[in-house]
Amino acid sequence: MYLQSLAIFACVNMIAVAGLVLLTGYTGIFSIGHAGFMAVGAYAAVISFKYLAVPFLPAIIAGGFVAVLISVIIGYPALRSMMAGDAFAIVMLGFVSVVRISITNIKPVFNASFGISDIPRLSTMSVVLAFTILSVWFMRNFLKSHYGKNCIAIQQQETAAEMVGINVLKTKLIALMISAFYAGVAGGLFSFFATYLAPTNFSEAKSDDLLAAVVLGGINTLSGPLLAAAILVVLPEFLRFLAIWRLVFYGAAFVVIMQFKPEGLMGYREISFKWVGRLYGKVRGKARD
Amino acid sequence: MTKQTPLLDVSRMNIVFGGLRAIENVSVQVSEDEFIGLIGPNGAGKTTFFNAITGYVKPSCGEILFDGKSLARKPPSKIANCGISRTFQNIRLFPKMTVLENVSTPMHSTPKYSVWAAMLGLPVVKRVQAETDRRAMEFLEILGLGEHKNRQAGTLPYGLQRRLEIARALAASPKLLLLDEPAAGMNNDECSELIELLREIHKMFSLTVMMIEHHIDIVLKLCSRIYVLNLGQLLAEGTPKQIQTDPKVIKAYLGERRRKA
Ligand SMILES: Nc1ncnc2c1ncn2[C@@H]1O[C@H](COP(=O)(O)OP(=O)(O)O)[C@@H](O)[C@H]1O
Ligand SMILES: [Mg+2]
Repeated sequence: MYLQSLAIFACVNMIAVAGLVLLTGYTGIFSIGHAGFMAVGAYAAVISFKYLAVPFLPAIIAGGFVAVLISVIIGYPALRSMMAGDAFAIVMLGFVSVVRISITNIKPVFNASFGISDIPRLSTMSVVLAFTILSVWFMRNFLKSHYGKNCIAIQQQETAAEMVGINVLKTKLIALMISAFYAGVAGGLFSFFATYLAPTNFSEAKSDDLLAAVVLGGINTLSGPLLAAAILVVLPEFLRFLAIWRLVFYGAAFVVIMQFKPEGLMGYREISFKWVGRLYGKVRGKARD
Repeated sequence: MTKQTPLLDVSRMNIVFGGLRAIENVSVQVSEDEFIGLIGPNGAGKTTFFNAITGYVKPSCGEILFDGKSLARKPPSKIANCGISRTFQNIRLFPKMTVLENVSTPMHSTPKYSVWAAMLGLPVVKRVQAETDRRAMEFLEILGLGEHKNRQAGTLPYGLQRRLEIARALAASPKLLLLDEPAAGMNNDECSELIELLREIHKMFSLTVMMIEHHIDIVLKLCSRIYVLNLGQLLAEGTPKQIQTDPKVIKAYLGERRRKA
């Protein structure tokens, strides 16, 4: 049971991170407040399930779409005003706080800071696994398509991207909407496993978790951040002290990464096993010398 | 010498940066198939002129007509899709993409399938990809970059990077090609290669070209007409012969070069 819950948390984290890979790792937009979309998706799913009698799976999807709606309301003006990238990050940082504080103060339905409890545990291992596999597969296809290429172009040279005819605002918005959908779905799945939903579940620290997976995992890669997402859930469980020192660890890791490997550990590469062959070749070459 | 409706018609354009008048009352007409030179000392406003046409800076007044339609209020991507393509003075490639991917970008700037098709990985995605690669490869061959197709653009030597920028601009199938100092940093051999190349693509794609260039011999060899900018103002306009003998030009531009030499 303990291992299973760990696996479910890892999967949920991977879904949210897969979305953030598109926004941050490919399009180059830093979102420090992505957990806000998880919160929106979670509350939307749980409320539509409990109060509007929407069945479980449609409720999860609805949560994703509400997150998309919110992302457009926030993202459209922020991205349109051509603010520098940093400004968008700050808007997002404000956004998580606004979401958390709003929910904390709405008594009807949201039940303020007490949160919503008695949520049935419908996010079983198989459901969560199916969602994870599908999300990763959809994201992989999208990133490999011309849409993904346009996102990379914007991240690498925005001026040139415009010159070749890429509608930068539209492409960024699509990336934001898809990543918000992923975060919303992840938030919903999480709540239906935790059986309890409180404003503190998706705080700024959760946003740091997601961003850490993308930064550590690398840019222009999906498998790197997914691996990092799983590791960042599992590792603190085995090394308890890491859980307490997590933010310190992130800070130190970020500094080291920015200094020595700004593209992240797996930047511009997908995980493959070709290196086994290369290593083998090297060892043999050495042996011959 | 100009036809009835010029392809590019810029009239009395002004551009102000804070207190600096970067472009003052500049009017330029370019007809189809022309190869136009735009010269002038550093800081004359040449790049700014290109930036205005391509929508990166907004003129404070004046009108830009392309193919008879106003370009005002159009963002750069829309202007690009109208048929104006450019290279940059300071190279702006997608450095971590391969050479082939760089040239492909204008062809898929508006993907030919929906977001849903992309996510589901429908067969159309692969088909369009193969078609795009094939066409991109043609441009690379024409520009002599075929053998480098899988290299990261950022790792190419400088001269090839400039070439790749031209290839990428051509891949957008433009009517008007704007070249911002395509020969900057090139040696004499590379310059003569570039002259041949530009002459060839001008003919092959029946393009209209406008080129900013400091190597005056390149401009004299390629351009049928030359505009001279100085301190944001149009100093002279005419054939290479007229420009070479224009006393104002000699004083402001050629003269300055002679002093330096
Ligand atoms: N975005 C900008 N903001 C402020 N000043 C600018 C900007 N772009 C160009 N300038 C100024 O406008 C003048 C013309 O620059 P530019 O067009 O680059 O000259 P050229 O290409 O002829 O060498 C210069 O004095 C330059 O500093
Ligand atoms: Mg210039």
